[in-house]
Amino acid sequence: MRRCIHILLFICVLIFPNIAFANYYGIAQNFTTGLDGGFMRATLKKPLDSKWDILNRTRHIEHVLWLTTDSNGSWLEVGFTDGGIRQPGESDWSYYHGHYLAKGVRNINHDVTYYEERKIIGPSTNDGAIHTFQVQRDGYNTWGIYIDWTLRRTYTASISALRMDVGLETNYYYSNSAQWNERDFQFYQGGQWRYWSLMDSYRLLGGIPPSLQVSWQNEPRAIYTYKY
Amino acid sequence: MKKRAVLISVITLICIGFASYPSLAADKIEDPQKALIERLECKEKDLLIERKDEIWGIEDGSIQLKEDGTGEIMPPLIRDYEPYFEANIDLSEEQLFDIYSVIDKKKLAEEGARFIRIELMTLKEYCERFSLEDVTSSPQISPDRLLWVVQLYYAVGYETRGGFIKNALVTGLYDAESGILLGSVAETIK
Repeated sequence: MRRCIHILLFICVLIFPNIAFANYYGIAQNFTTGLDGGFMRATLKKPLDSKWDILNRTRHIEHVLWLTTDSNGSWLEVGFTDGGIRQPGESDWSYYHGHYLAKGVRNINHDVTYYEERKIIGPSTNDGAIHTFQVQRDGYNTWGIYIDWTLRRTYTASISALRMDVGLETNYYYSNSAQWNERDFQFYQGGQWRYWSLMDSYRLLGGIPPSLQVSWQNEPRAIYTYKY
Repeated sequence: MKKRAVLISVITLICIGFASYPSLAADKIEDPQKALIERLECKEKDLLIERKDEIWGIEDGSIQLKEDGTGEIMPPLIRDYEPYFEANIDLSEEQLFDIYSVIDKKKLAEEGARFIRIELMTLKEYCERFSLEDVTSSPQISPDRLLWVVQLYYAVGYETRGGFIKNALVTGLYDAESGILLGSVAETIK
């Protein structure tokens, strides 16, 4: 009996830190490679609530478009977030509610070796505002990140993208989002935008925790995502 | 009886005065960061109105499909526009955000952080000296906008929203006028 308890305690020690720092996803993924860009349209819906407070400053929740830019898992992202953002020099994470974009670089061991994020102030944060989110290759290895067809940041990355993901991410089990309708998913290839197609290799990923749901609104071009 | 009525009236007036005081005081104190955010959102709104979009943001009615219906015809991209964070190289010392007001050196030392620099410079100088990227890569910020560049080193590593960065050099770019954190970067130093 005592041995069983010890084993259970050991398992808890192993599992709980992972739960505490895990991110949860309700997303659509498309595995088409050789991409020069990705696009989605979304309407901001309240509530989007990470349950951030001064005692729990790292909680966040966001609706995002990601492009994976190399086989190590490096990425570019743009979206709308609620929750903690770490402010260098300040002793703790601060609250932010608004648009943002980011670039992450992973090495061959998949460790993150570079992460940059920017707040994007200007686009409306009003409930019901519709926005377009877009990442596209503008030069040999330069990528532009756009909100509402307006360039917000340029990054250098690889010469093509390997995957596009769209949907909801959070790092807190009890965070909350109204039902969003991410839609009009498109790739940029050969100088043209093309909707995700039934011929592509794609899937939905969600349901963990069960309160985080993703479903097709118009397969495979649009999804509903929500978290209660 | 008359005296009591007068007394009640005076007390009521005093109570009303106290009740309204905090809201009056709150009206007078303007949060500079909030004011700037409101100003920038108005600027974006103007930009969209110039493009004849009818609402703040875009609208679904703007979708134009290609002939074969396999994708959208996108409107022209806006790459060249007046930066939202305008040049302010002539900012006086009194107008500068007090960056030291948000920095807790003691707590940072406890976390294993080592300060490299807290320096005032323009975006252009930051790009030339540190990021080595073209100044046009941040079109929302004027090259002549003043920034507080806060740089720290974490031998113990640094947690970000994007993951844990080992042996990290961390840089924060704060708008020197409003104190808004415009961006941050954390990178592993070899």
